[in-house]
Amino acid sequence: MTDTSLSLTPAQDSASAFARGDARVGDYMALLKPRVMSLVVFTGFAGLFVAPGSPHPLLAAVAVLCIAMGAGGAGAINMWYDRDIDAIMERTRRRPIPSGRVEPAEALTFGIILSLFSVMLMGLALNWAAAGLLALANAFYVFVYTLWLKRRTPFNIVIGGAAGAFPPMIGWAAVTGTVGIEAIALFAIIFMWTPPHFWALALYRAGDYAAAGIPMLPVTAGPAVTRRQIVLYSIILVPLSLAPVALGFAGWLYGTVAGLFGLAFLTLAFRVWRETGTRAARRLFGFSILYLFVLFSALIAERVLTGSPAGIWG
Amino acid sequence: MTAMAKRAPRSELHRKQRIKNLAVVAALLGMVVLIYLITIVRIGGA
Repeated sequence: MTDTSLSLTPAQDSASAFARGDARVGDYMALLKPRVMSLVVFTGFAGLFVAPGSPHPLLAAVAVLCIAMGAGGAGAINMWYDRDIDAIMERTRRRPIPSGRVEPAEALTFGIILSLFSVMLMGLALNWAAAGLLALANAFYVFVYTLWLKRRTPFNIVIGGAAGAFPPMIGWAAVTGTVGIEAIALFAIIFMWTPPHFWALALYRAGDYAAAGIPMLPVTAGPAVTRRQIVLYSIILVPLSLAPVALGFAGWLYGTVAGLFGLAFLTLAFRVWRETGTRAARRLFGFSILYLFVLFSALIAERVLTGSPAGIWG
Repeated sequence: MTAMAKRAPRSELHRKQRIKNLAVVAALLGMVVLIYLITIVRIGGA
C-alpha cells in the first residue's frame, strides 16, 4: 500500500485539491482580500457620508457595495496574477490559489465578473462619474500596480498606492456626480499614507519580498533609506491630514483628532528611523491602520454631530 | 425501504458542488432583487 500524497508535486497536489472540490465559500471570500477591503469600504463610505447631498439610503448602500465588489474583484485578479510569488512568501502562501483550493482560471473569472458588475451597477444605480472612477481605480490596481509596477520598481506602492486612495473620491462622486477639491484632499491623504504604511510592513518582511523577487524599497535600497523615506512621507502626511479643516468640510473635532493622531504617527515614524530592529516598524504598521480608521471616523462623527451638509441620513 | 434510502449516497465532491451551486443561485437571486429595488427607487425619483 502506498501513500500517494507523499509522491505528489505541489502542482499535482493543488490540482487534486481542486478536483476534490476543496474550495469553500470562505475561499472565494478570501480572494476578495477582506482586510484590505474593510479599509477601502470604510474610506469609501466616509467620502459618501461627508459629501454634500442626500442620496436614497438604498442607493448609498449600493454605492458602498459596488466599492466593496470592485475592490474585491481587483483583489481576486491580483491574487490570480501573483499566484507564483504568493506561493513563495510566508505571508501569502496559504491563500486560496497557492494552497490549491481555488483554480487560477476560476479566481480570474470571479474577479473579472465582480469588477465589471460593480462598475455597471454603480453606473445604473448612482451615476457614471462614480462608475468611471471605480473602473479607473480597478484598472489602476490591476494594470498599473499589479501587472506593471509591483515587480519592476521599488516605488511600486508610491504610484500603485493611488488605487487604494480612490474610494473616498468614488463615494463623494456617487453623491455629487463630480470630483470636488474636498474629494481630492481625501484622496491625497490616503495617497501619502500608503508608502509609510507598506514600507513599515516591508521593513520586517524584507526577507519574504526578497525571496519572491519583489523590489520593495528595503530590498533594493536597504532599511536605512526606507526608514528615511517613511519619515519624509509622514512629515508630508500629517499637515496634509488637516486639509479637510482648511477646506472647510471638517471642523475642530476632526482637526483635533487628526492633529493628535498625526503627532503619534510622526513619533512612531521617528522611532522607526532611530531603531535598527523591527519592533518600531511593526508598531507603525499596526498604528497606521488605526490612524486611517480614526481619521475617517472623526470625519463621519463630526458630520453626525454638526449635521451639515445633509449627508445620506439628512 | 423508503425512497430516500434507495438513493445512492452522494459523494463528498457532489455535496460540495451542490453547496457551491446554491451559493451561485443565491447570488443571482440577490442580484435580481437588488436591481429590482434600485429600479423602483430610481423610478420613484429619489
